[in-house]
Amino acid sequence: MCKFWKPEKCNHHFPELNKRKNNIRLLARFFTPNKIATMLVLAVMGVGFIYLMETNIGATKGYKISDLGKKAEELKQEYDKLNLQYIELQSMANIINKTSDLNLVAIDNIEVINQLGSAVALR
Amino acid sequence: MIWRQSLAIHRRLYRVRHSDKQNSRTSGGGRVKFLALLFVIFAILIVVRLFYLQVLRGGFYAALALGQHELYKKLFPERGSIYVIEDNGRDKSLFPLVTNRQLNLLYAVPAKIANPEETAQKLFEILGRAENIDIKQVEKDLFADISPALDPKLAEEIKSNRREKWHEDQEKAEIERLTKILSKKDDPYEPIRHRLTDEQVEKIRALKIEGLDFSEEAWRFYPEKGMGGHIFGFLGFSGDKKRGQYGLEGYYDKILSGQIGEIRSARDVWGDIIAIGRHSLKEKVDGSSLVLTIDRAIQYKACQSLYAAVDRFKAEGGSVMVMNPKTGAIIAMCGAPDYDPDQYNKIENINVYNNPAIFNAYEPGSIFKVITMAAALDAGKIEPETAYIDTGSVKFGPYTIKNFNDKIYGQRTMTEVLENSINTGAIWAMEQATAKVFTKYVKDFGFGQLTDIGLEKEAAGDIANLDKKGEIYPATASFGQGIAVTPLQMLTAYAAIANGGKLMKPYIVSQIINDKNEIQNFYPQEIRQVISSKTSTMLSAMLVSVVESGHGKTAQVPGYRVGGKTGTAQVPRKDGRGYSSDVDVSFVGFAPFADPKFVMIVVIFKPQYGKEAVVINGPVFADIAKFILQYYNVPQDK
Repeated sequence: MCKFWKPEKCNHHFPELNKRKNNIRLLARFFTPNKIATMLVLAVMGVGFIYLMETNIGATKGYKISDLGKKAEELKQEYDKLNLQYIELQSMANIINKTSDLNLVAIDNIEVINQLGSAVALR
Repeated sequence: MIWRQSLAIHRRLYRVRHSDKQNSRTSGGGRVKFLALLFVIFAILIVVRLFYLQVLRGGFYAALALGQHELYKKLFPERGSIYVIEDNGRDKSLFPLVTNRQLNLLYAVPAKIANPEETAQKLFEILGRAENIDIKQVEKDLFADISPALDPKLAEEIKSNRREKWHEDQEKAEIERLTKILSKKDDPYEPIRHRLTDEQVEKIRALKIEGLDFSEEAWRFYPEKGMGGHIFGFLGFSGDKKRGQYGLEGYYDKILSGQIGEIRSARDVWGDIIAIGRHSLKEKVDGSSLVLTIDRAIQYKACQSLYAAVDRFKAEGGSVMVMNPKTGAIIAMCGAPDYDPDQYNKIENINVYNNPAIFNAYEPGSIFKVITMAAALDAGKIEPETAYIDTGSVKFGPYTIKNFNDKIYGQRTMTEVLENSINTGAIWAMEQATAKVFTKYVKDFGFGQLTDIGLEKEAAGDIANLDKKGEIYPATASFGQGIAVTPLQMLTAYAAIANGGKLMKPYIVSQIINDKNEIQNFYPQEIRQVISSKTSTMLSAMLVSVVESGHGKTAQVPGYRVGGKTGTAQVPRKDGRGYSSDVDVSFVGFAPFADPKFVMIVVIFKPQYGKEAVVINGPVFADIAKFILQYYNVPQDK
């Protein structure tokens, strides 16, 4: 008689259950406590390694970003200085000072050409 | 028996023991009390100390603790720049007249300076003499007693010796000053010198002196020298805060300065910010920038011409302004004596900060006759050819008003009144219009009111005399005496005459650009139609006649019809009624007649030589006008 408290005797009733049971048995045989402990240690080491690697990469990138930021700031300061020099060189006083050596003559008595209106030349 | 003896022994023993115990209790109790007292005193001391630390000085220590575990930093905004528009014919760009630059501050930690004397000597070799010394003024004082009649060679030798001695004294004084500063052993911070150049910084760094360091400071930078400081004003100190004062810096201080931000965050024991800690950030807002209506080339030309005239005629000061009559936009504005906003603390008299164009209310003299003519013409009471007979003087009760140099002109037209600048003719024209109508026109032209041009420290002038009872007041006002106007008011009124009678609001800022590059534009504003277009044309023609055949001949520009009027006004005495021998001379004009591109005023205050507008102002006007007409490529009209 098939009794519910002895399911191994009832394979014909629960074939699926029997199959899962076998799988569990196989897994249990493979995953011994020692093996699980080893795997956990390896996993922790792996995660630790990845963490260290990521931290290092992050730190290096952070350093690079900070370095680039510093360089960008330096370049901006340099640009500002050059820009001020450029502006200073364009100042009226500077232009007049520089052109005084060129012996330029001031414009005087400009003659304006009158437009001829509708008159055109004949061929 | 034995029992009794034993009991007696026990009793004795008990007594002995008991008495020992009692004795010991008595002496031990004293020590305990003493100890307890000590504890109480100690506790009281702790309570008192805690009260002192936590209540009396609680705020101080709380702040100290807060400073250790909390980061609080103010974020200072960048002050806005002041630009002009550069138009090279192809494209337009902004050129800064006032902007910012970072300069270095050298400071010392005297406690770390090993050898103050040697350091002071080395610093002097790089930094030179003390800052804020006006060499021109120093030389003026040094050579004050050298007579101009002295042999030039000898004078130069004396000057050279004195100069050398002065430099030696300066070196000694500066080294002593630096040594004194660097010798303060308990002092953790002493600023040594502001505004160091990069070269100076490099040289000082190369000395490798412990206890010297640098920090950056933002300063205003003025790329254009000799463009006039009055427009800009300066960024000075008001208490311990920097604040814009005078000119644009003063008027637009809030807009230019922006808003201070702040960062507040928790710090760990190493002083680093805790990323997940309390954190608040209020972003700073950089100041907005201003774009002016000023033309850089014309401004430079106007300033240089004014400075030359003031110098040549040994005047107390002067002002030149150029305006676009159609819009009211100021093209140039220059004042003398000028100051460098970068060195604003070097001036001797703070009155120099005031812009004479908007602050100096003066009696305009004959240039005001044009306003009188405008009133009478527009009221339909006279025509340019209306004639009257000049007898040389007009009497108002006890007062007699005469023409300049007591001249008597006889029969003259209104155009000739302006050409010859006849005082009695102006009175006659005013009387034709009536004093009431004349006063109305004076007010309509904007006299006695602020123009609100957008510059700090503007004066409204004074035309209160026109509201007084008595014929003498409008009579003197008709030829520009007894009232006070600013050069800007005068220019604006003439601009209305050149602009078909429309009075435009003068303005100098055309755009405000905020930190997000959003632009707020300022557009020309018509205040009112003061005189009709017909009156404007008639009066403009009369003014051309003044320059062509009247008193304003020196203002002529070959090839162009120029309109304008001279004015030479006596300066009221400061120590009583009446007038001094000083004069203020003015010229206001426009060109070309048919389509005025500009209107310009030239005012020279109290010249020592010349003393006539036709001598001083006419040539200055002509010089600048010629430049402007050529610069604008205006075709000749005659």
